[in-house]
Amino acid sequence: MTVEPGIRVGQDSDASTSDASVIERSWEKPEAFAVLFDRHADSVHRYAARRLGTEVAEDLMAETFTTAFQQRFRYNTELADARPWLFGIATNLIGRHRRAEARRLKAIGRLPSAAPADGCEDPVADRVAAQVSAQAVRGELALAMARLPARHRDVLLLVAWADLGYEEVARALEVPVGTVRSRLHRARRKLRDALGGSDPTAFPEESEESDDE
Amino acid sequence: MNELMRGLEPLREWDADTPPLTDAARARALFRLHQTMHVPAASDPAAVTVGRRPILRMAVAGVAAAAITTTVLIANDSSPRTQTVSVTTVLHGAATEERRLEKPIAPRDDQFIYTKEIIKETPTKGGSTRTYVDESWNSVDGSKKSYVSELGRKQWVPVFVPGQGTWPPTKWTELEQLPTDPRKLLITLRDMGGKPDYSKPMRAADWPMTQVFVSGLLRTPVLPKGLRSAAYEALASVPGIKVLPHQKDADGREGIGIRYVGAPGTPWAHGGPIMVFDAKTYRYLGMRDQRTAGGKTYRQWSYVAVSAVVDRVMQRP
Repeated sequence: MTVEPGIRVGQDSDASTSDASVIERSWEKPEAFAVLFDRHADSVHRYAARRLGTEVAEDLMAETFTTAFQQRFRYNTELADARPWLFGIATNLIGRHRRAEARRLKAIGRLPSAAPADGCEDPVADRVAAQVSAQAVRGELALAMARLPARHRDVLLLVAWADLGYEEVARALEVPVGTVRSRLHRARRKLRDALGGSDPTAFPEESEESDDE
Repeated sequence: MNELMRGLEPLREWDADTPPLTDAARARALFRLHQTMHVPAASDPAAVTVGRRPILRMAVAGVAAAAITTTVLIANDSSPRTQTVSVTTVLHGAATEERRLEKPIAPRDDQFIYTKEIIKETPTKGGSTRTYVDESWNSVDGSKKSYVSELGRKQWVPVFVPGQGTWPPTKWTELEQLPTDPRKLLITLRDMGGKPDYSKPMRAADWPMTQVFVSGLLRTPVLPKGLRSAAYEALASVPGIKVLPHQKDADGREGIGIRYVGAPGTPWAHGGPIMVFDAKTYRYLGMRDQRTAGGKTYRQWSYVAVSAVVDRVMQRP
């Protein structure tokens, strides 16, 4: 691995320090911000790669951290965990690629899924069938996500792929928590419909929320 | 599993085999971050310089409460009286006084702005006061070397390289382009680097940085006609600006202080420097600040004694 002199990779000298403390330290010592990079670069990259593909993900992840660094004075250091802030920045940057994201999802949705062999009890064939089934589900999911309004997709994928809760998504997108609930509810309903919607228990904690905006 | 994701397993497993971030890609991204850390951005208050001084030294104050009213004791000829003044009263008064006193100038790009700044510094834990007289000659458009003194430390400042600048701009033409309407000035500073969107309201998150830029502008010794008074009035509308009574200048005269105190979690949470105004006329007198060096903390009082346009370095008005 080739690394520029003086650049640390994969270190976190004080893992017990909160993200907020790291950011506050970076106000005086900009280099301290690299700790935040070490902690969250992987998850931000993975989120970006799932949304836009690996080709774009590296650039988007890098831009997320340079943007965050430039905005570090705006960070509310009463919030210990900076993940919602970082994923919010990443999601805003993804917003510049809306069309590309939609095109990508539609392309995935159009991928053919070969029909499994009928009546075959061969375990290998079962696995193939399962993969084909998974591919078919993936295609349906992709098309359903492509049809979602961008703001609904953002909420859904921040929950699904960034592992954020309601409050954290609200903070990331700077919208009320009620709006997050509403958008998530609608997005999930559309995905459920796209996947057949036959199992109401698949969404047990879903409840009707106030309309989005 | 995340409770919110129950029933969405296919989505959760989507691209679960996404290739991880490689070491090479990580190093490239980290390199970009380090480059950003070392290239000053216009929106980075730690990087922006004002007259080659870190702007944080002079960033004035703000929390989220509009004009805060306080009771100030004002010497009224023979008998002191109490009078209630607000941020708006003080800063609009300062704007009025500035309009009355200002003498319009028009420096050429090849000239220099001469300033003579007096800084009196006293250790907070006691000790003698030291006075610095800083004379500086700043190139109007940055195309010539400037000669700057900071707390007695004199140095030549190189010519600007392309893309380099300071806030506020030393280029007179750029200063002249700033609006002298207080509201438009705020929006212009908020949207600095792009086209100002006057229809977009100020958001809570916009205020801290905007006040840094307004305060930076006010620190500039020489400004085009009408700009300083506009900046005073703009500052009056910044949430978090507070009035501090009983602030004294270096000669012991009592004035009224104006300070920005940022919201918890911001670099200005403990308050920035204090701009001090005459208690009667609201004329700007100088600034109270604090600095730490070598483990010692000093209280500073600074004001600009002389400012003028001159043709060359070392020329005095």
